[in-house]
Amino acid sequence: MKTILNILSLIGLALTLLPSILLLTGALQAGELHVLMAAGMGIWFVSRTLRETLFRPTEISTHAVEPDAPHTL
Amino acid sequence: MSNKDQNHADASSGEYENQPVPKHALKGGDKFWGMYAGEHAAGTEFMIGPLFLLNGVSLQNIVLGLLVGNLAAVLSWRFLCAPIATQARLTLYNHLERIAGKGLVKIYNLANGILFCFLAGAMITVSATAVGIPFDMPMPALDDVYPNSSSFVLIVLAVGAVIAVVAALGYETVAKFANIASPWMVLVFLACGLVALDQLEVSDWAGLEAVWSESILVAQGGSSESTMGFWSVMFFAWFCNAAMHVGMADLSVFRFAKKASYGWASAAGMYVGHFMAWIAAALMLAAQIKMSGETNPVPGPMANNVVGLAGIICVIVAGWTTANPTIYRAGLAFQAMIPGSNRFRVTLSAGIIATIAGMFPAFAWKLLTFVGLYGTILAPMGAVIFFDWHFHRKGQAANLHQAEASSPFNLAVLFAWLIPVGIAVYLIQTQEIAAWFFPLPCWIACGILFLIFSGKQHKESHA
Repeated sequence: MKTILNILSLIGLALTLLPSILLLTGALQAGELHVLMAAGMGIWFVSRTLRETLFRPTEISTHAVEPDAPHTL
Repeated sequence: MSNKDQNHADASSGEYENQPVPKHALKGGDKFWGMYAGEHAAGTEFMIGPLFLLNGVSLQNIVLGLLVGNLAAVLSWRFLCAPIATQARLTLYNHLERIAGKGLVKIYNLANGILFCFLAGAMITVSATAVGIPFDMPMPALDDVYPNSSSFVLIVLAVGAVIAVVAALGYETVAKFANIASPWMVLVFLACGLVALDQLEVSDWAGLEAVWSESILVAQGGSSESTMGFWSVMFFAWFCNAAMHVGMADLSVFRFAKKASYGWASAAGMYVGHFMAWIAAALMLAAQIKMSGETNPVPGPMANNVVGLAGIICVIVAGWTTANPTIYRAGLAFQAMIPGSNRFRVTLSAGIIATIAGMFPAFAWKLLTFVGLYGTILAPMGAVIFFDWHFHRKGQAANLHQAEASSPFNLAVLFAWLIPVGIAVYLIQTQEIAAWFFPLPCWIACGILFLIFSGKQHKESHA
């Protein structure tokens, strides 16, 4: 299950970036790019959320919850 | 709670806010590379890149200025912040408390809290421009200081309310979501830049420069005058995170690092977020100008033009994941000012201030100046830590760990901080000198004044 979710996450990321490269090379149209990137987004968030929930709780950030640590810009 | 109980609570939460981080809690280098890459691809990136173009910066100056400025920022993290963090292993808050006293740290926190509210306000504006697209909301224009429509006000209110309530409930879930979203957001930024390049129809550097210059002409109504040159871009890139590196806020991060060399991990944030993402966002605006002649750097429509729905969601997520912890921390900062106050209510109040600020698009449009001011006000406190560490503690952590501030308000620190910052703010307001030129002189002046004043204080107490 973990491996499947990892592969799905990678597919989600690939669908986020590769369409823009294919658009640059002329192999894809803008409309197709929008659909593929939206699909990549959905696959990434679903698979990654499931992976984090089921197998590895997200670690506490090294940005400790404290009053003085500004968020990055 | 006694100190012993507090330390126990610290250890069980894994955060060690009131004690040096022990050896077994140190983290590996990969954590820092990932964290910096993710945290510096935030909502602000959508605004900063386009603002360079609108200020008429040439493409060459952007690329060179960002390369050099980001390198200087990385060196600041590596050689100023990380070495102290990996020896003292304390948070900025705890470290500063041992030098300046609890009362003064509260004032520093208040300054932090107020600045956080306005930063969060700008991010609420950014998110609202994306949320407003399906509602046909009239987008605020570059010269709009006040809200431009009732629908804009309503959407800012809705976005601000959600962010404020979630922050008031505790932002752990959002922090987890932000961790999940980070790698995806980085790739969306890259994709936005590539698609914008395609829309600009350029095949080489010369072509890109020509299109860029045309965009500046359109954006500036026929003028090619630049209000920012190489030095402006360089200093801005160096000091937009001044509060974190020379300002020592990232002591809180690097106290978990095994070695000071992990400071190089900040390069991931600088060259992914503050180089690639800024240039990608600037290219998005150039593409928008080329395709529609529209010069408004409104993130939602810009991202929608290049990558569609994924871009809109990215703007919302980036704005939200920046605004949320910022409001949360503003709430904590204000809460520290009012002992016994309810954190939920205080955070909600910080969220309301941020939401009201978000209704004024001017805060987002003036982000470059705001970020410079943010560094000018907060970074000099880092000089106090740096000079104290090297001159008073002789680089020995034990000297600091045994120390307690002589009073809740160390006047040497207070005046060393306020004098240069006061002069800088006056010059920024009256002489209109760009704010990003001030963190460095203020930092140096603050450190030297601290040594002089604390030396005098020491002599008087022994007289």
